Amino acid sequence: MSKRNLTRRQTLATIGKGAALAGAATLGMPAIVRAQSGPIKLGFLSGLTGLETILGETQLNCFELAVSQINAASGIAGRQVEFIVEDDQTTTKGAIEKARKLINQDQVDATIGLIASLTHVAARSVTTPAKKLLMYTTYYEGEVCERYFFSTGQIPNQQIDPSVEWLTANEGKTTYIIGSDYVWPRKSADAIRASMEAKGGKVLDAEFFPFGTSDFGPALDRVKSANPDFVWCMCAGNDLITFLKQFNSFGLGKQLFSQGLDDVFSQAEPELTNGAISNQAYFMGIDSEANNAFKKAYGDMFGADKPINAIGEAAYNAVYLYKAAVEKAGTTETEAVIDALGQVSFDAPQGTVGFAANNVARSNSILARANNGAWDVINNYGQVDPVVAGCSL
Amino acid sequence: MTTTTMPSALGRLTQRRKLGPAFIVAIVVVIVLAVLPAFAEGYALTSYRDVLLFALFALSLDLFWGKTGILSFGHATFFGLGAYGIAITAIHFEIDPSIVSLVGMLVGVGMAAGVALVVGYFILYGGVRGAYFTIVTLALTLIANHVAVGWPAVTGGDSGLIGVPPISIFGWTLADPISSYYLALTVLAACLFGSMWVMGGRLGLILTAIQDDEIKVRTLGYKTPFLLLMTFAASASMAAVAGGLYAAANGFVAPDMIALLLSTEVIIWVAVGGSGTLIGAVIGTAIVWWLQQKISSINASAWPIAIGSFFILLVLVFPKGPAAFVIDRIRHLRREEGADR
Repeated sequence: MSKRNLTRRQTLATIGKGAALAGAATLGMPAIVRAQSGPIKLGFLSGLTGLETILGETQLNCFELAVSQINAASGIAGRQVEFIVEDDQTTTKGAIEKARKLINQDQVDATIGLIASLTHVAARSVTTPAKKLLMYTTYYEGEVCERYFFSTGQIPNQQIDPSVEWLTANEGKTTYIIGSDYVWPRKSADAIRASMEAKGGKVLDAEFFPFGTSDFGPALDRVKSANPDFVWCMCAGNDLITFLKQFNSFGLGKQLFSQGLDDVFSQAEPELTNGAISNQAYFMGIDSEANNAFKKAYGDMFGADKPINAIGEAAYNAVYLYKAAVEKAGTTETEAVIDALGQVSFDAPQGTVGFAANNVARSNSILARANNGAWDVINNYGQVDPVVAGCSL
Repeated sequence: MTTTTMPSALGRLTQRRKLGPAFIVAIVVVIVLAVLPAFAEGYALTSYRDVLLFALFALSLDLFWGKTGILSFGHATFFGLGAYGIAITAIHFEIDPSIVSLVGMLVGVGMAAGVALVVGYFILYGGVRGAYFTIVTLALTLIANHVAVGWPAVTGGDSGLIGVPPISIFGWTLADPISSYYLALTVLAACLFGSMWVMGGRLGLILTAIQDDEIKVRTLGYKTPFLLLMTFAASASMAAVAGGLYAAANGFVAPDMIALLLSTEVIIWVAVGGSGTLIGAVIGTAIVWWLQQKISSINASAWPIAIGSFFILLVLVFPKGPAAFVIDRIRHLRREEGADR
């Protein structure tokens, strides 16, 4: 009996050793070899289906454009770039599961992408504890201060504050906020309130609606009776289109501001967006050599009629900034790359961009009005340094 | 119809003491699952753990649907209540970390059982059966989902809640992949064998009889609505346990966990394994999960089409599941052979 037990234990031990050896073989030595010589692996994670479908494709295209340009020009530090695309479906569940897959199963060197803020919250809950680099490329509510999180889109002091300054001086002192119900509109509304009050203005009310809301009629009725000088909309993705349709047919006669509007929306819905004001770091109309080359390369790869927006341009920039950081650090090791990211810059389509000490990119602030699909610049505030209260990394 | 089923029910009564094929399969499955961690590393193991928890969820549905023949289209409600129960308890209330997951599980399971008892009381005692029961429970999921999405102060709205602590039993935290895997397996095995034992006994026979002819069973003196209600509540509680463990293991809760899609998926899992066998629910979940991995890696958009087509086949061709369909065919052939002799 005891003899039998012993053999069984030995068998188990052998299996265990085998498994341990196999584990070491896949995780240990070859991983180090792979990390410094094989291709660099990037994960692209974003909302390719669901609420943000309208924006996801452009973001992925810009990411792919950057990778293919880099690979055509001998890669990052001589290594080719591979990428894995994952769809977070603009859900917390999707973002968490796919971020886990990218960093654990695919073992990517960095993850780039994301649109709706709820997905950056979700993805960060995976990447930051795992000490993996995450680069977010959409304008958002700011307030994040984490070593492993970098963002190449605008935050409120680059997007909301300059807009409020112009709006309060030219449109009036009161606004009414209508937004989707999640972290970006809610936290941005706080920033808008603070900004409006600093300029002697007032947010009359803020209302938030679940994803997929189909009827904004009652809310527009309340906007009408509150009678603000302009309406501020922060509905996300496809819900923004629904809102625009109802806003226009309601005939409120108020100026509309939404920092969610960009070339993708204006070219998809030129009539609905006409006259609306937005603020982005990038519009296709920017006349510079870098932007013309960018637009041409994008058109050659995906079709000349395809629009580009700030989220896409920021994804393009993120890949190039990552490239610069890896080349500066001389390794893809996350800690070294993060240290290097703060010191590199890239001549982006919008101008030269780089990260401030809070891991947010210095980016443009361009206030513009939609005009039949294009954007007429009202005021270009130039490049603005990002401010995240109490954050220095 | 009834004359043929009565002897079969009696026949099963005499067979009861022998190990049924389902029981042997269950033992084999649990043993295989118990040694699985030796062959899987961290990330794969967390995926397997999630499959086990979904299998527990499927088992809970099979406990009701498979045994009573009444299809609940609202089981994600109970899974979700379990998940939201532990998440809300852990995030919105300041409870001693050593007992918070137990309190959270109790809250979630309590809510699920409560909802099942209240809703079940009105519809089961009201004589609602068959398709009408399915429709009412379908509405239940929609309502629950609306509450989860439309009450952001408590539920986190569309974003859900992130930061649910892992299961911790009096300071012993089951956070790493291996211990959370074995926790899931232990609970699944306990629920599986528990359900098989109970359903292999008198209650299982009565429920089978209710499936055939409820009025006859009631005439024999059994309080059939009460028995159905208790089975429904037990099933809901088990679903809530699965949901609570899932939320704790993955660290978040989101409206996907209390949505109609999940209610539909769980029906497919059970159906693939064959409803009424209990162990079939576990196997079905694993098969569907495996297929989903394979098909999604070929083409991400192929999966919804594949599962949608399967669902149509399920309704039209084999309403009792592919396994039962094949067994029925074989039996049918044998019977024909027997008739020829």
